[in-house]
Amino acid sequence: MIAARWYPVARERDVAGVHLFHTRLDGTELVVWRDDAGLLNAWENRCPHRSVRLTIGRHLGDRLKCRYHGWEFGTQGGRCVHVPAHPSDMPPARIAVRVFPIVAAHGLAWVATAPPAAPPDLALAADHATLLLRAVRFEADLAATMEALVGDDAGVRPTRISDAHVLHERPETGDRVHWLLQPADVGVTIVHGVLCSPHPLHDPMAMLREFDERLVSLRDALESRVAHA
Amino acid sequence: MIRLHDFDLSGNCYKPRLLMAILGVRYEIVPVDFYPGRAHRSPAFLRLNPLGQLPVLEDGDLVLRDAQAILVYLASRYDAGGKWYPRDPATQGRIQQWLAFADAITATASAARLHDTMAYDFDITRCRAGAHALFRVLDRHLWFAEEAGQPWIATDDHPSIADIACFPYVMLSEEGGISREPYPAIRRWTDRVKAIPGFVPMPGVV
Repeated sequence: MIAARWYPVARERDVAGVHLFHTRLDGTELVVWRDDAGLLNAWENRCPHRSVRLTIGRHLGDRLKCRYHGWEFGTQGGRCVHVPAHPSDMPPARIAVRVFPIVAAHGLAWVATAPPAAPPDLALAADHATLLLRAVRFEADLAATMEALVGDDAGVRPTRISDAHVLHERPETGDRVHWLLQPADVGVTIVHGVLCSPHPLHDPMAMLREFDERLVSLRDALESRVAHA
Repeated sequence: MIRLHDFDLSGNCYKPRLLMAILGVRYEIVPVDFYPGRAHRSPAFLRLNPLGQLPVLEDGDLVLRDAQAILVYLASRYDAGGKWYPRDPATQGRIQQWLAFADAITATASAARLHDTMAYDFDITRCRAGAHALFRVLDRHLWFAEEAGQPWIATDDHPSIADIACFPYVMLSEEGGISREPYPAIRRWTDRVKAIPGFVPMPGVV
């Protein structure tokens, strides 16, 4: 069981159009999608009929259609709204996909396993430029990934904010990176990064690459330690 | 008329089928019973391709093997707009680099699928680990390409044969027990490939 709080699962802009974003939280596969009205959905990635993944289904604007027998599930509630074998009957209300709370904040989509009281708040200064880094998947558990980030102090001052959030500050530039951890599954943690800078970003691509290289080398080192443990 | 020696379930045969469908090139299929018949090892087929591999394309007197070589030929010969294999040297170099990468995907992800679905005796753990290592590279490449406004593997304003070459065995990876869930940029790219006008699927590509 993971702590009841919001976890980032994707950049908001990556949940767009008819794309069905496939991820995982605490061992549960999720399909994350945005309906035509712009509302976000985080559902268990499993049709309640025959358990086929909904990520191979189709986005129909205000509902998803399962690839297998064509059952359709409506946005927000996840309720079954159409069964092709019974076209004139409204399906019973109890037939529904398992739905998770989802909110958008700081450019990320956040999901919770149980609804927490307060929305996610990184306390970003309003005048800072922000940049969403590439999420990197670590084949390591939450605690080991946290330890690797907290222990990474070359040129940065690391602070443990929670058991899924580490802050790195660069004293010489004032840049801060919030590393937000998504406990995807046993031995799998996805690290999302939000860079906040007091200065305008002259070359965002170079910044993205620089922080990505650093995070990937941290991951490679941790994974090789896990593999040899 | 072009003749394609083809097996319906082969991702490598799907590559020229997909490109010819998109380009509107007409061709005739010569079915080869790869599994279970092993017709690609028959003396008649070995005369066509001594390596005993599919696909083989015949166009007049030309006999070509190797899916990637066939894509280079088809795009150079039949794409009047020159979009799928542009003549620019740097672009061609980049495309060739990813055609070789596609071959590495075949050696890992396709091998895992042959093991799982057609009873081939391969080291499955190694095949899957090799595919995941390549998918990590491709996913990172595509993420930064997207950030730079380039939606395709080797080109920015139009897909190329690099996309066609990499697509089939990425899309069929689940049949070899290789999930694409860890690769969000790859999943977005496969959506874009499926939306190319003229796109046709093959069995297992959903």
